[in-house]
Amino acid sequence: MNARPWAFVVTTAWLAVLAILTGFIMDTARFGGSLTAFLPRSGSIVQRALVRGLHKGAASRLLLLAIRGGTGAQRTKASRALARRLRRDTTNFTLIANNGRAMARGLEGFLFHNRYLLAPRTSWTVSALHADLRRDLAILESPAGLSASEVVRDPTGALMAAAGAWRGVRGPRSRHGVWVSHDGREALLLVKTRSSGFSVGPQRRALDLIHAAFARTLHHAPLSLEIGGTGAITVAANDKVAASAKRLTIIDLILVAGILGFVYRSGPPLVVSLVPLVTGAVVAAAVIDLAFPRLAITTLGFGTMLIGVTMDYPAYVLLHVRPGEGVARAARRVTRALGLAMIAMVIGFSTMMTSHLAGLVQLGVFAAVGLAAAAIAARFILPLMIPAWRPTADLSVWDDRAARFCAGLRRVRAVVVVVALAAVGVLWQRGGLVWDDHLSALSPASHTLMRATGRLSRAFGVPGLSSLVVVTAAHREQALAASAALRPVLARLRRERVLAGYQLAAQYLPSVATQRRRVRALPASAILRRRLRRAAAGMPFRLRAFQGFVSAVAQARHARLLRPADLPAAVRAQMGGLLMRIHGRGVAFVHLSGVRNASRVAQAVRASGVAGVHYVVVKRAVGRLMARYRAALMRHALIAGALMAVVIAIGLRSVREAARLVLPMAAAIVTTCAILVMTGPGLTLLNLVALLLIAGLGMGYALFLGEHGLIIDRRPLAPWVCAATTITGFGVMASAPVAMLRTVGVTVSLGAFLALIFTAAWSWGRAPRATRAP
Amino acid sequence: MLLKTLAGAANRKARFTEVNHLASLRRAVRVYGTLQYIKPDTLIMTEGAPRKAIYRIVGGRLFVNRARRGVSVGRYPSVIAMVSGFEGLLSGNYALLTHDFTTRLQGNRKAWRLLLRPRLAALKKALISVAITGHGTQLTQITTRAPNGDSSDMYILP
Repeated sequence: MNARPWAFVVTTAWLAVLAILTGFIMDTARFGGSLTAFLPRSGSIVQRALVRGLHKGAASRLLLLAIRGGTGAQRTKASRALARRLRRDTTNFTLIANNGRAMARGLEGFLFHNRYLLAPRTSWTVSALHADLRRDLAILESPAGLSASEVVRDPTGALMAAAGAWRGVRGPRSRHGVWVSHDGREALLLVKTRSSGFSVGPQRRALDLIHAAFARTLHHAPLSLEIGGTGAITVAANDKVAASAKRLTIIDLILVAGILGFVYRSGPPLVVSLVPLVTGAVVAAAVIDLAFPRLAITTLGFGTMLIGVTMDYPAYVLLHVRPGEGVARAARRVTRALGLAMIAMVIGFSTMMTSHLAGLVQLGVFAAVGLAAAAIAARFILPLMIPAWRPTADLSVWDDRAARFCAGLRRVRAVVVVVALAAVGVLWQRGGLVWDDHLSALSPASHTLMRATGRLSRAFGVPGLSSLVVVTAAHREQALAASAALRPVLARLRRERVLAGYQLAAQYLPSVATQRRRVRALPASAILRRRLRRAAAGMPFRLRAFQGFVSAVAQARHARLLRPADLPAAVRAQMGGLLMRIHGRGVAFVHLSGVRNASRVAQAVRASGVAGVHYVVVKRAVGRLMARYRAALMRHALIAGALMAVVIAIGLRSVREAARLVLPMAAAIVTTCAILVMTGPGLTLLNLVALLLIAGLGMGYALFLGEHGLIIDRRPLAPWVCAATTITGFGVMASAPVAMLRTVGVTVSLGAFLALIFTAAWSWGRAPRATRAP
Repeated sequence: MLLKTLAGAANRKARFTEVNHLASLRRAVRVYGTLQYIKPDTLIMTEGAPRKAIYRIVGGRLFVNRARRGVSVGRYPSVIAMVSGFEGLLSGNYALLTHDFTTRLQGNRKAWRLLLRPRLAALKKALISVAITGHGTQLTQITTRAPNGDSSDMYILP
């Protein structure tokens, strides 16, 4: 039988299938980015609203631009040219503003046209009108009287009252008609993207477009552009992770290839070592793509990490190849052990599918499908790819060394027990404080960019997403009315300097009920004329001059009441993040800024008696969401662990053997946790996922080190090789400059090391058989 | 030439009478007071009757009485015209005049008339023309016409 063409065909077919699947995923998958996408879709309406608000909120879509260097005139010119260029692109950007005029575009006409719906006035008595007319007369009789002819068009000052909410949203100070920073050394622009600030792809495109447009406006002026905002942070964080992951992967590959190269002494086994992992990841992603509306990037990341255990499968197969034996036979011999490990883990991870957290369900499906696919690839496809490979080096010396080392470790079992107990003690003593649930604990964004964004946000008066009031109601209209009811409370808090400011939808758009009340208060034309005549008694007004006013009021009496969709684009953009429909319910957000005393705000909001109102400190609330997710994952991990133990006990048909296998692994996980808690700020979600990987790795080590009759002619070297590659690979990651990668690297390399040592201490006691020696 | 002559003069203070005919009022409004110009960009108008009030215009912002926060004069077209006329003439800053207005100068140094017409559409809506007349270095009258028929005649007394 000529094996080579056959191997070539299998390899080609396998590559083709993977390529097709990858193409299919790329073509159809809708990727959901960011951790917020991973947060629960269930849970209370407030939590869901918060997630949506964080994700889709208007504030997240703002990019803040600062032009530096050059002279003031150059910056002004660049600001104008940049704004002009970007305004042409309406598919990516919804708002480009570099001065107050841009923000107020379409606003003045809107305010004037709807002034009687927007102004809070409801009193139209003779005495109220008289007071208005006295003020108007004073203006007309002043030296500016000639410019004040509009006072007779709007004698009650409705336009000014309607514009009340808009005063102060002009943004930063202006010089030569463009926004500048406080010290005047930067020209500032505000850009709003159509896509969410957490979507990496569209945000990168937006940033590229802005940079390209800026480059074209330069004309050799020595200017630089800084961009802040959620989108910029998202992209920078993503790039940072990608860049350092790329660098580390190359180092990783070299080191791991060095280890495996030393063991195999040939090339093909190195290449096929990737077969199970790649197969698992691609198949799992394809299944998620088919079964779920959206493939969370987090699922891809965490999931690939969980099935990273399958990197060990090729080593377990190839190192068991005996001289004169085909790879397929060796694979057959380790099938039962590999199969048991795989089935135990698949059953374990499947419990995640029963979770009510969408992200966790996805992760469970991904891990279960990926593991099964990877194991099948290792067992059936890999031997076909290199059917005739046989070890060229005699590794029995190393086998003996590994066995002797295991024997040495067996003698210090007592130490392991003491360490594990101490670890349990540490965790017990820390209690609930072992977790660090801040979202920022996982954020890889640079602090410089975060600070720049904070600085620019303050310059623009963009409310920081630090604390807000969430108002939920049956529909948007009700939420709007309820949030409006909070205004007196908020105004009082601001007067008492408990908070610096607030922003809410009701400021820009009164509820329909309020508008109706105002319209009902408007007098009919005949009545208004009569009242005007009486109010103007003793004043030199020509009543004819008020004709425009009288007909405007008459028109307003039958005006269609305003809904969010009626607002001009700039206003809608401003308000979009403040009033939303989420899962069929109306949600209004009130952004608070400069909160000095959170508990007083909470108390005042509670005491307001407005239904469906919740005060939320975002950091804390997100922490709670993370904690919820983490707790659910923890619960499922424990159930998964228990199930794995049961499956192994059934597979080995011995509770005692199963205990020898599972307990050292559990001890390794507990010890890893304790070390991490003692040396770091606390455990995060990432640590937890990494620990699940350790469980999988440890099970492999235990199965291949223990004696249970599942594997005929065992090679004790195999787990040591696997552990060496894992510890090296993740050890390199532990040196990453990005906290996220470092966490995973440290946890997995430490855990894998402990798992190996602990399981080896309970390994099978007899010396390896001599039959393997030639 | 005229500008040089006027700009050479020191800070000034003068009494004025203003008569405004407004379409919305049955009777003309008569305002009495003093005008004071302080180089380079401050104009103080003290109204003695019919109300007592002080208007300070400093660098394009109008402060009424003791108000600390001013409003932009951009909101009052006739004020822009007057301020531009005053400051343009008295500071010799011709650019200030030609930025917002087309200008025409008639007469000679002894008796001259400067006619300003707005360039921008926004100003045109509120203002037809501003005519400033004078003798030598002395401004004597500012006449303002608005499209709705409103008019203002300010007489500056020596």
